[in-house]
Order: sequence, then C-alpha cells, then structure tokens
Amino acid sequence: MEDARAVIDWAELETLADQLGQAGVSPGSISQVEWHKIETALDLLTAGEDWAGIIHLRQIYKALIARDSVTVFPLFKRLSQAAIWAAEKEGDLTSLAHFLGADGHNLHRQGYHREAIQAFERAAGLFQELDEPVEALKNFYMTALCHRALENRPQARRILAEVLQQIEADNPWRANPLQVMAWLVQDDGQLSQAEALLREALVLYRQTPGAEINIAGMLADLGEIVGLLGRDIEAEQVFEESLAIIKHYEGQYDRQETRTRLKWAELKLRQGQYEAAHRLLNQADDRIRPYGHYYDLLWRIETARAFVFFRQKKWISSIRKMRLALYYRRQLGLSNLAFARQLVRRVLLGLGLPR
Amino acid sequence: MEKSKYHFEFGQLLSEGIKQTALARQESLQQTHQYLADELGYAVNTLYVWRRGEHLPEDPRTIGDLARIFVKAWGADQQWINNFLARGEYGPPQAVEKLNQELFDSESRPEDWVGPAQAKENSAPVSTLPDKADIVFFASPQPALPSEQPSPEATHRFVSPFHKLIQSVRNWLAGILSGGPALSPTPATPASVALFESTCGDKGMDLAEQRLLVSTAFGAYFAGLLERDEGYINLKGQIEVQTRWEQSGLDPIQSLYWALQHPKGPRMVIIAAEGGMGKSTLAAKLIRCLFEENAVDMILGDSAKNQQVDPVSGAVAPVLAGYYDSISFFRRLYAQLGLPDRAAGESGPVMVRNIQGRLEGRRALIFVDNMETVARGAELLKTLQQLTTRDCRAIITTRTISGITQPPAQFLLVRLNPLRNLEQARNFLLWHIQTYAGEHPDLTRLSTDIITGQGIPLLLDRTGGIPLLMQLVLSDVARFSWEYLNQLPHLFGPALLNFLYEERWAELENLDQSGAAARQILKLVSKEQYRGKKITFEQVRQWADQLGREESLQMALQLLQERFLIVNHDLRQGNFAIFPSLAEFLSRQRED
Repeated sequence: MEDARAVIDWAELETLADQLGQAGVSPGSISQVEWHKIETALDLLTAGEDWAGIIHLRQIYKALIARDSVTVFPLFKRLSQAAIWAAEKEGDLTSLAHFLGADGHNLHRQGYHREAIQAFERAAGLFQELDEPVEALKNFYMTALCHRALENRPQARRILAEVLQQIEADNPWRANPLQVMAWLVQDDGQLSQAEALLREALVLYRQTPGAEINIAGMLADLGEIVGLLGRDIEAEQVFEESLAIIKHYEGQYDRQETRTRLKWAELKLRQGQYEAAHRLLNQADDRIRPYGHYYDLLWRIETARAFVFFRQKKWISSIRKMRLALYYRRQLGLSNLAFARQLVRRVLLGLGLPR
Repeated sequence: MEKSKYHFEFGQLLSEGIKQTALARQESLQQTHQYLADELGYAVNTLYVWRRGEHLPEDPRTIGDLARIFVKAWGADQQWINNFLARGEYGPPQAVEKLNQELFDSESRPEDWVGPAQAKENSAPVSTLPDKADIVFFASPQPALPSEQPSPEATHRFVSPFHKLIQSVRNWLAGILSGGPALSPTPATPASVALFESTCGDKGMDLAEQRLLVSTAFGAYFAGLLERDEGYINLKGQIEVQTRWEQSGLDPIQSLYWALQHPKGPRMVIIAAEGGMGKSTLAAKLIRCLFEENAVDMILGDSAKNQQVDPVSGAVAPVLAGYYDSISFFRRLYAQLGLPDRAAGESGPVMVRNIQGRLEGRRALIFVDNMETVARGAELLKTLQQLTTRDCRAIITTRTISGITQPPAQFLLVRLNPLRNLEQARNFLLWHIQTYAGEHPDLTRLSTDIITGQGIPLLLDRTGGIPLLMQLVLSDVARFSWEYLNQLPHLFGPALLNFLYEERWAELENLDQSGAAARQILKLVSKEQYRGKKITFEQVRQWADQLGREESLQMALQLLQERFLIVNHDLRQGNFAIFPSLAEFLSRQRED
C-alpha cells in the first residue's frame, strides 16, 4: 500500500489540478494524455487497495469536479465511484456523504435522474446521521430537480416548499430553491410569477461573494422567461450578460455556457431567426460534445434543432432530429409519452420547448 | 441537354471580397460569413455555393447588396465592383449605372456614407441594404426590359428558357460543323482559377474544443499536423486525381477542394500511396483549408491503429491485427458525437441511424487514417458510404487499395505519385532545405547544388522519388557528400526506408552517450506522440534531468535532427514529432 502511494507524484497531481482549473483552460481541449497521470495514480491506488489514497486523490480534484464540466469524463466517473467505494471501506462517513452528493449532481446533469435521487437521498440520510442538517437539506433539495425532470412536479413542489420553510428569508442559499420554484411556476404557465421569483433569487445571489456562475445560470433562466414574455431585446441583453460572466472563466463552465446558448437559440427560433438559432445550437453542441456524456443537454439541443428544421420546412431533417432526441430520452429512461404531453402543453401555452 | 454553367470567376471575386471584408472588420472568415449571411438573409452554406461558382445568387439584388457591403467594408474600387457586378450578372446597364451612382457618386450617397478611403477604419457592421436602385430594376422576377439592349454578359439570367434552348441548339450545331465538341458544356475553368488560394490551409488550425477528440482518435502526430503551420508543399504532378468535365484545368489540389465541397461531388476521397509519400500531410492540408474556409465545422473519424497504450504501465504495445471493424468505428463516432455509451448491443443500422441524426445539419468531415490496417476495409467503406452526405464527406488514407470493389462514382481515388521530374524534385528539396535548415544547418550548403540540379537525378533514381526517402537521404548527403548516393544499396520503397532507419539506429548505438540518449529520446517521443502528447523542449529537458542525461541532451537532439529522425515544428518552445513509419520501426525494435 505504502509502495503505491510513494510512487505517485502527489505534488505533480496537485499542480495539474491547479492548471486544469484555470480560466482559459477548457478541459475538453486538453489532449488525452494530460489525464493519464491521474489515471495512472488511480490504477496504482486501486491495485494497492489504498482507500485513503483514493479519497485523497478525489479531494485533490474536488474543485474541478464541483465546476461540473469534467465530471462526466470516464476517468472522473471512475474516480468518483472509486472514492465512494473507498470511503465506505474506510468508514469515512463524512467523505462518503459528500461523494454521494457529488455523484448525485453528476448523474442529474447527465439525465440519469432516478439514480441521482437515490444518491441524493442516501447522502441526505448520512448527513442527518452526522448531524449536518444544512448539508442534508441541500441534498434533499436536489431531489426536487430530479423529480421535476421525471415529470413528478407535485413531488418537486412539496420538496421545495419544505426546503423553503427551513431556510431564513435572508439566507443567500435560498436563491437555489427559489430558482427551481421559478421553473415549476413557469411550467404552469405563470411567467410573470416565475420572473418575480428569479429576480428575488438574483438579488440574493448578487449579495453572495463568489456566486458569479450561479448568477450566470440564473440569468439564462431569466432571459428565457423575459423572452417568453415578449421582451426580446431585454432577453438578449440578459443572455449576453450571462455569457459575459461565463467568459471570465472561459472553458471552466462549458455546461453553463451550453445552457445559456440553448435558451438563447430558443428565443431566436421564436423570433423566426432560424440561421441564428442554428448557429447558437451548433455553438452549444460544440461546447458540450467533447465531454461526451451530457445527454440531458444533448436531447434538448436536438429537440430545438428539430423545431428549427420544422419551421424551415425541412421535414426530413426535423424528423431525424426529433427521433434522435427521443432516442436520447429512451437511453436516459425518460418517458417519451411524458415528453409528448409536455410538448403539446408547452407549445399551446407558449412556454418554450420541453424540459 | 445543356449542362449548368459554372461561375468560377464570380466565385473567385466573391471569395476575395469576403476575405477583404474579414480583414477590414478584423474578424475571422467564419465570422464574416456569418455576418454576410445575416445581412443578406441567406444560410452560410449558400455563400459557399456561390463561392464555388455553382450558381449565382437567384436574386440579383443580393449582388448589389454584396457590392454595397464590400465598398463600405474595405473600400472596393469602382473597377472591381463593376467586374463583380458583371461576373455576377447583376442586370442591365441601367441597373449597373444606377448602382455605380449610388456607390461612387458623392451626390447620391446616403448621409451616413463614409467613403472607400475611410472604409478600413470603419469596421463596424453597418446595415448596407438600401433599395433605391434595386426596386427600379428588380421589382419582380426579372424579365429583360424589351427596350433595353443589355450586353450578353450582363443579361445572361434574363434569357428565357426558349432562348436558352435556341442557344443550345446553335452551340450544338456549331460544334458539329466545326468537327469539335459542342460548345455549351465546356466550363470556364482555366488553370488560373482557384477555389481557394494556394496558401489556404498553410496556417495551423486551433483545434480548441476538438483537441481532446482529435488527439484521442488520431494521436498526436496527426493532431500536430493539423495544428502546425506550413506543413505541405504542393508539387505539380504528385497528386493524381480523376477529374470530371467541370474540373478540367483545375490544379489537382483545387480539384480535391472542389470534390469535397461540390454537392454532387464524390462523398469519399481515398488517398492511396506507400508510406512516406505524404498521405497524412495532404489530408491535413485539405482539412486545415476546409476548416479555414468554414466549409467544415466538425472533424470526426479514427485512426485504425496497430498499437495501443497499456493504461496501467503506460507501455505502447502491438495489438492483434484485424481487431478493428465497423462497430469499433461506430463506437468511436458515438464517443465523438456525444451519443450514449450505455447503449451496448445496438445493431449496426441503429448506430448508423443515430450517427446520421447527429450529423444532420452539420458540415462534418470524417477522416479515416491507415485504412489498410482494417481487417474488413471494404465493409468499413460501405459503412462510410451510408454516413456521408452532401454536407458530410470522408477522407481516407490507405497504403493499399486492394479489396476496394465499389464503383468509382462513390469515391474519388487520389494517388500520390513519386516525384519524377527534375523541376518537381528541385522545388521539393529547396522547400525541405528552407524548412529544416534551422535544425540541420548543413543543409544550406546543398542549396546551390540543388538549384543547378547536381545530384538530383541520382537522388531520384536511388529513392524512387518517394518524398520521405529523399528527405532522409538528403540529410545524409548534407552530413557526408553527394558521393554517399553511390554507396546506397539498390533497395526500393519500404526496404530502403527500413535500411535507412536500421543504419541510423545502429549508428546511434555506436556513438557515445549522446547516441544512447538520442535513441531514448526517440522512444520517448514515439510513446508520448502515440498517446496524443505534444512534446516540448521543457518536457524533453525534464526527462533528461530525471535520467541524468542533461549534459548529452543538446547533442542527442542535434544527432536526431541531422539524421531527419525527429522534426521540430516550434523552434522556440519545441514541438517534436517523428514520422509514423519511424514509430513503426521503433515498435519493432522494442519487440526485438
């Protein structure tokens, strides 16, 4: 065991983590071999059953993983799984709870919402045992996002109501459940109320140091709603602001950037600017594709493309794209019937494309 | 039946206009295309159709709009604009005159007009689409005004189908009577016509988001070829390509661009040649140019490998021949396109359908390197045929074309010939000296001999005109003398290549510590290159420090560069690479 740990150049791994986490370095633009050192270290530690070493390795890349872009790389998925296993073996419940929560985020981002709920619930339970109610609540809150994605909106609402009840009105973290509540309200067609919720959340975020990227994400939602309310110029300004924030961290938040561009493309679609919509969708696709596994965003991109082609009367292309979007959903275990229902409803109510 | 007319000259002028606009606006060509597409209300793809000269804009007002943009953006002069309008068949002289007045007569200019002199300073996008002249002359589908006598050139598009028919018959009869071919199908493709400039693709591309995917699929050698500047020299006669009637007169490399861009062109381009002929280098040039011109926005594909990296030990080991098949290829494309990796056991047709779905609406290029190593190459070709479309083309490199049984209409076969004539060889050798003299200064001593032609016939004879062999042997001539050529054994192709590598390998072994260090550097570069890593001075230095070889490092690198065993594409920071044939040779050394 000691041998494996001694062979690994931990300082080098830490330097690599620093380098990969810098603005201007998009993990998707790093050649394969840069990841090889981490892979080698993980292999050595696994072969030596060095559980503490694996946990330490996972901790080195904690910040990078929290930024969400790299978590879908097979190597990081492996590292996350190995760290969960190692924490269980070591009986390190605090690390285990944190790793499970992070795993839940990762699964949710990819679209595996059922598995994500299991991970979040287990993490929440562990945090309760560890007498860390705030962390438990954060994991419990995340299950609301998964339930919404699985079309179980009443459950999502119940969870959010419960969470909001437990958070003081001036607690900046409250912005999170408010944001998700805004999505649910938007789903019901109450766009003005959704906007009010998002603006309330935005005020809280703007008071929080280091919440820039959360603001960027929320601006994407706000831009969408403002656009749906017909204030197109304002919507474009909001999207631009979102992208300007992300640009400060260029490459580190490719998933967030994709999300903003996707929502902006939907606005362009409604405006009838199909070429601009295609361009934004291509940019969104190019940002997220190198990571390979963000299926939840990819099915939305393909759905949006299907609609753009449909409006352009390119029927075959539209059908191909829609078929692909449904394929992605099937692979994620998402109901296509629910998709059809949501599609009809959202189109009729003018709420944008399905989520 | 009259074949459609090509408008290469218009396409060329449009390309020039777009490039000048990009320069004036200080933006990339891609951004300029997008800007123009948005301004004109067309898709970017359509701009490319016009640039290729496949047809003119359907609405002549678009030509006018383009002229306005060019004048405002970069100050296109009146002569250029009139040429552009004429080639674009803008309309009757009155329309041209009216537009000239609008653009160049100061009294009729709009108030916000800045004038060509200031145009370069004013690079902001200005809406340039007034409608004064256009409304008068192009209010509806444009029949020629009966009273007008427009020039034949300017009125081409106003000729009715009946007149076209008459013209066709007249041309056909003229052809019969003159004993030659009918006139109409002869396209205007003089040799001077170039779809893209000869320098297109000389600049290395920034792979950016695609770097991980490209390096994972093709390895660092090819990724490096894409990212390096000026890695290709176009030698007349080296590229042998079947051309269609409309390509006659085009330079072979321009024919390849044409083929890869034309909607009805072949969907697959197969570059076939022995090792060392420059297949990958040509493929990289094509890809770089198509990328630079925004004709392609996605690179996909795979290099069918005969080696793999052991993830634990990091060792590069040979794999069983023939492991690679269509499903392996699909899996690679799935990963590159972000298709779900959990979908194990999917049938080939389902995978093809999903890949097609992802490619829909994108301009992609699928590159398959080393197809000769694929056990069922014909099957892979069939697969590629299903994936390629008007917007998705494939480039394949292979050492052998045996087993390819598909009819030629489905692919374009490109053969790379050895260099045969003196002029060709001279140009190539001078290019080599110019490119590599920084690493091997003795090469410059040969410049005069090369210019006078001394030794070239014998060099061609001994190397068979294979570029890589010529480069290796020339480096030996620089080290010794032209007399060295007489000492070379009478070997050809792969046998000679192997001899040259063997000889160098043994020579390094017999040298002092520097030789041993040089051999180790080669192994290091080979291994790291295969894994997709860029090898810089700093990395080589670190490696030398670790092994205590820092003292012999400089000399070791010099030994390698003098023998053309290693090339450095970045003299400041270092970007070392070795040729795939040498990597194969080294892998055999390891096996031994």
